[in-house]
Order: sequence, then C-alpha cells, then structure tokens
Amino acid sequence: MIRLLKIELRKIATYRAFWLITGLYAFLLAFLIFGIPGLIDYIAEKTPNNTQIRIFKAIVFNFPDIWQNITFVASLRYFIKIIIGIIVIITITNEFTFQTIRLNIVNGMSRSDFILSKLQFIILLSLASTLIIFLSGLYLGLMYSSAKEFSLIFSKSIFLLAYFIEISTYLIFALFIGILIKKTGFSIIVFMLYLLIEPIIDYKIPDKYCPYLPLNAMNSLIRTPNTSLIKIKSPGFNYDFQEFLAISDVAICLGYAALFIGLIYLILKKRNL
Amino acid sequence: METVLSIKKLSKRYGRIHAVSNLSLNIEKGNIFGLLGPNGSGKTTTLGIILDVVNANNGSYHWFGKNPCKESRRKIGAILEQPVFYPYLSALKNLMIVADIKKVSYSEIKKVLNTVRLFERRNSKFKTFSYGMKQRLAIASALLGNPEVLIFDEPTNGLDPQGIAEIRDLILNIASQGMTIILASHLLDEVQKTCTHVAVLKEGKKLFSGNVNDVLNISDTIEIASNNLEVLSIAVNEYDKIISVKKEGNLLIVKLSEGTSTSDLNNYLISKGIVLSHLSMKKKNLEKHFFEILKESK
Repeated sequence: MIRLLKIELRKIATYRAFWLITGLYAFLLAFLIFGIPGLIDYIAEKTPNNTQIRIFKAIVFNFPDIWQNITFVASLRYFIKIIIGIIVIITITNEFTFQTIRLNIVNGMSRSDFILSKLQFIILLSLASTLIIFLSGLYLGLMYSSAKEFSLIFSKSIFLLAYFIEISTYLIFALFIGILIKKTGFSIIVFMLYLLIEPIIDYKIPDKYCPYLPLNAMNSLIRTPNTSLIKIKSPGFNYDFQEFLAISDVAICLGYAALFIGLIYLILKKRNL
Repeated sequence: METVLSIKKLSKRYGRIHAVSNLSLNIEKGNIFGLLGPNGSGKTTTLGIILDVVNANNGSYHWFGKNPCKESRRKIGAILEQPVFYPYLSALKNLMIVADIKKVSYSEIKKVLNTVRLFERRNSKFKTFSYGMKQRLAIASALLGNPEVLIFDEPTNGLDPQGIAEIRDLILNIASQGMTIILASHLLDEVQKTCTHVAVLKEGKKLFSGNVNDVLNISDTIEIASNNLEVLSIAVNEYDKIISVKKEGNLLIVKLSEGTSTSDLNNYLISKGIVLSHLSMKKKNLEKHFFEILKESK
C-alpha cells in the first residue's frame, strides 16, 4: 500500500510546479490566518457604530465553534481549496501529457494500482490540508477564544472530519475531471467553469433536487455557522444551529466519491493509454 | 522449447481501420524475434496490446504460459515508441520510480546506468537529455531487474548514424546474454542483422513468419543466360534440383533447392552441351524477400 504512495511522492518530490502552487496555497492560508483578526480590527476601527463587529470578533474564534467557522470558510467553493484541486489536476494530466501513465502500466502497475496511487496521494493532500486547518484553528482559538478549557477545545472537532471528507471528495472530483479530459489547461478550465455552472443548474431545477448536486452535496456537510453575522445582526432570528454532522449528508458526499472513483475506473479500463 | 509469448487471433480496430487482424504468434525462449513491417502495419499496436496499454477487440495472449497480469509485466523490459519519462525528474529519480514499480532494488540502477554510459549524467533532468541519451535511458530502464524478455519498438528511430550503431551494439550485446528479445522495426537491415526469427506484418495481418536464416536460404536466386534461351529453358526445367524458373528479359531467374550449388547447375548444363554466357548468383537478402512478400499479398 505504502509502496504506491511512495512512488507517487517520488514523482512530485523535485517537481517545481507542484511546490510553487503548494507554496502559493500555504502563503494565502498564512495570510488569511494571521490577517483576519487584524482585518476585523481594521474594519471595526473604520466603522462608527462597531459593536456588532466587536461582538463578531469576540465569538467567531471561540472554542468549540471555531471548528465549524474555520472549516466552513476553508471549504467555501470559490475559495483557496481550488488551489489544491488544481494541484491534483496537474499531477494527473501530466501523466497523460508526458505519457508516463504508460511507463507505469508497462513496468508493472495495474490500472487499479494506478488509481489507488492517485487516491492515496489525494488522501495525503486532504490530511495535510485538514492538519493545516486544525493547526490554524488551534492557533486562532488559543489567541482569541474566551474559553480555553481542554474539553471545549476539542468538543466540536467532528467538523475537522467533515472537512476531511469534503476535501477528499472534492479532490476526487478534480481527479475525475483530469482523467476524463487529459489536457491540463482544458481540465482546469472545465473544473473552474463547473463552479459557475452548478449554481445555474441549481437555479433551474426544482429545489428538492438541489442538495444532490455534487458541489452542493459536498458543501452541505458543513452548514453556515451559527456564529455568523446573520445571528448577530438579527438577535431575534432563530437560526438552525448545526451541532452534529448529518449522516445523510455524509452518505451523499461519500456516494459521490464512490461514483467518481467508479467512473475513473471504467474510463481507464476502456481507454487505450 | 519454452514459449515466452503466445498470441492467439488478436484483433484491434480503430474505427474502421483494422490495426491488427487475427494475428497469431509464438515466441520461444531465447529468440530474437523481429516484427517487421512498414509504418502503420500494426507493430506498435501489437506491442501495446501485449503490454496492456491497448485493449484488444478480440483474441488473447499469454506471457510465460499464464494470463497477462502486472506480475508478468515486471519480468519484461520494454521500450516504447519514444522514450517516456518524467521530464522534470533526474535520470536517477526516474529509474527509482521504475525500480519501485518493478520491485527491484535501487542497487541495480548503477549497473544499468553504467551499461548505457549515463552514470555520470544520473543527476541531470530527463528533459535536458539529447534524443540518443533519452533512448539509452529507456534501455537502462528496460534492463532494470534482469527481465526475461526485452521489447524494443523502433529502437533506432530518430537517431543519428552514431546513435544507431551504439543502440544496435547494445542490443546485440544484450542478446548475446541469452535474453529473449522482441524487436519491432520497419528497417529490414536491422532485423536481418539482429534477429533469429521474423514475422512480417502488413496492414495488421501476418504475411509470413519463420527463422531468418530459412528466409535467406530459400531466397537465393541465380541468373543465367545463353545464346539460345529456349534450349536453356528446356534443359533447366528438366533439372530435378530446381524449385522455380522465371524468364526475365533475356535472363532466366532460377531458384535451386537447398544444398545445390551454382557449380552443380553449371556442370549439369555442360553435360547437356549448353554453354552459359551469363551466370551470377544473387544472394537475396531479406529486403527483397520482404518486398516480394508485400507485393504478392496485394
């Protein structure tokens, strides 16, 4: 098992493009983590009546709700997770551009091995991404949370698991697009375009089907946090708090992951490499 | 004889084009087997199928008497049409990936890099290599793990004369160690110089296959002429060691049965009172035979 991951890591170990994009991701993330508290302060300073913003800052980083807040922001579909999606697309489409998928198969990988090696790589990327979110949350919480009891800190960390499931499914979706299209540039365009297309589909079809669209399904794992501005701005508004993950949401999301993996397998089995 | 590869009634269509049709072959251990045919005759497709990168429409193949699987591919060293590696990785890193896939120890990498004289350049990125070096790295990669079979697809394509000579020497050197080799080529000269067995392909069909030496022996022809071609023709046709006689201009093209020499023929004609005005032996090479086979098949 580890052998396949080792092969996959060797492919990118000295690949400059991979490290550049990963560096960009890390830079943006660090910028956000260290910048957001300051940004909130800055906005508060510029706003004459800033009580709501001050309250917002006081509760948004609170344990344990910070886990929902931070994973919600990290999994926003138009946000930095696109960068990891692009990393996956580049690594898979490279195998077709350089025909190195043939190198792998001819030398003794089965097609399932090849898919498995990519999936392991995705799991590793997702774990790394989740770890970064965890560390960021821990840092922000310890800096700004009013409550710092150990039991509180980890009580809602189930949202980290939700983030892991979501980002894994999202990256498997990226892998699927890369394998389907093969060309790097075109795959990235289709991947980004789908972000715009799904809301249109969402608008056109009856509401009851909307949660079943792939990106909606992924995003609905972590709902809009109860500590959002909505609650603060309208204290009387009875917002539906999300305390636990809904099993049905997880099932739909994992169902999509399984569907994409199945399609990837079928495509590679049928295709002449 | 131990059969390394047996192909049964293999067919592959790309749309309406039959890239390979109903191809059957057996390759025995120790053979240097040439797959000979013009461009587009189905050589690369055939190799693609037996290496599991192309799906056949019909037929089957067996490696080492077993159904094809990834384990059998690890006992095969293959060089595809073009040297394929990760361009941004060094030669060494690329070979480490191949070694990982083949489950071969890294300690073998130094040996194969030395064989192809690339050890000094092991830390250079693949994309900085010249075409000849890329091809040599491909050979090094194929040699990793002491494979039982080596497959070369047009190994000298795109190389300069010096590169061609180098690669051929390498192949002959490897062949002398008793490995089974499958060599696809459109160059008859190459097949003739290196192979023990040959299959001639055209438009995906096998036209001919057999021992290269058999092909060469059968195809020796003799040109003869005398003042009276008709008398000569009658006399030659009566000779019992003749396979075929053909008239071409004012020459007779004669094929003799195996073990019969030109002097045997000349002695016979002298005994019949015929003096030849022209006698020349054409040691026909595979090339002519190849073109003949291609022509006959039309």
